[in-house]
Amino acid sequence: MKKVILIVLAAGLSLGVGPAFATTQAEDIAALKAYFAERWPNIKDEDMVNGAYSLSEDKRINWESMRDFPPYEDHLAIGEEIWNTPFKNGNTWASCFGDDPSTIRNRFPHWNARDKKVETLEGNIIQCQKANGEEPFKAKKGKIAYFSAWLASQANGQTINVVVPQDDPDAVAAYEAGRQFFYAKRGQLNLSCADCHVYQSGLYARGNLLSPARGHTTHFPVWRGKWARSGGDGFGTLHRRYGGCNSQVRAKSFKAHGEEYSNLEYFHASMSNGLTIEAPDYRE
Amino acid sequence: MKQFSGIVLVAVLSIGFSSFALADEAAYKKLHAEAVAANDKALAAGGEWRDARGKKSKFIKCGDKKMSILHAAECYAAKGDYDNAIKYAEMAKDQGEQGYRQAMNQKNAGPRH
Repeated sequence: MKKVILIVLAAGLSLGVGPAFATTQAEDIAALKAYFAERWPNIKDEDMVNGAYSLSEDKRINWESMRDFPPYEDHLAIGEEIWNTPFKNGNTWASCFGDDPSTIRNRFPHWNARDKKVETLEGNIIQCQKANGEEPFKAKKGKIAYFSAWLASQANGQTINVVVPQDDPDAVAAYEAGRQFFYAKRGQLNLSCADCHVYQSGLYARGNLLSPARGHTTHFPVWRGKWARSGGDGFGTLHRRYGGCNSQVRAKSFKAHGEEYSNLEYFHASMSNGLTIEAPDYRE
Repeated sequence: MKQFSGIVLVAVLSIGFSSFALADEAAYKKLHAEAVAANDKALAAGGEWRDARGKKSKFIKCGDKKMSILHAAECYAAKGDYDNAIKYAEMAKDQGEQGYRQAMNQKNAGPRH
């Protein structure tokens, strides 16, 4: 009898204190959607693509006026030119990505079962350049952002559906590593991605309205006023933003398109499944 | 006689001061090595902090420049200012240890909603 009680107790305890990551991608998405639905009952799920601009009327008016004359049109034209320019060896981008540019953005991020790693669009752009003997773009801004933004613009309106093959333990592990990264506090300020973009979303950090995590990846690369003011052209990739966020909480940032940020993107983009691509876009 | 006493006093004092300086230098070097090791450990755990020794950090001023904490320690040591060198080496070591502890505490982080 004692033995039975002990077994039952052990089973109960193991259920109760099991690891926080024992949920599936579908359960994570459902839980996050439910959390935001309860937090903002008047905001429709499809409006989450607009980030903080769905939460504040004042911010929304400014954002809409910026979108009337987007500051990134010229960069998109450069992106298109990049797509149409063959490599020195005569190959084109289609040799890496296929002929139809509208089908590219929404294939990323994805799990590469052969190499056992998450592949990102910008990571594969660099890989394609290297494979064709080209000097690769810088990883976070400049031409890589223009090109990625143009590819994203070709996919506008498509529904995001990041797939984590549940029968592949390596893919599941990469997704879980991304989730752990998202929820782990880091840096001297001891803040996680989730602290700002889940639990405190809709509140202000200094003058910035914190955006909800659901919908984040739908509009990248983005043109940010802050990046433009700091002497750049304003454009940047998702991994540039990750590095900036980590630095803001005083943590050492990781390499763009390295394992940590690629796994994070795998999880982060998954949390926008069911929403549509709306890129590029303006952000503060 | 007076002159001789003066020379002896100066010699004793200078030996005393230089041995203090040597002790400070040794203490700094020990702390510097410990700070590097602590931050290597934090880095390996994915928990290193930005300002401990980041190349782009502008956290502490040494002379006209702002730099990371450990770089500031090195900068002050190069100037022979071991009080500040030791202070910042200790701070960098502390950040490395805290970064590692944080990373370990957050190993199983997940949603709490």
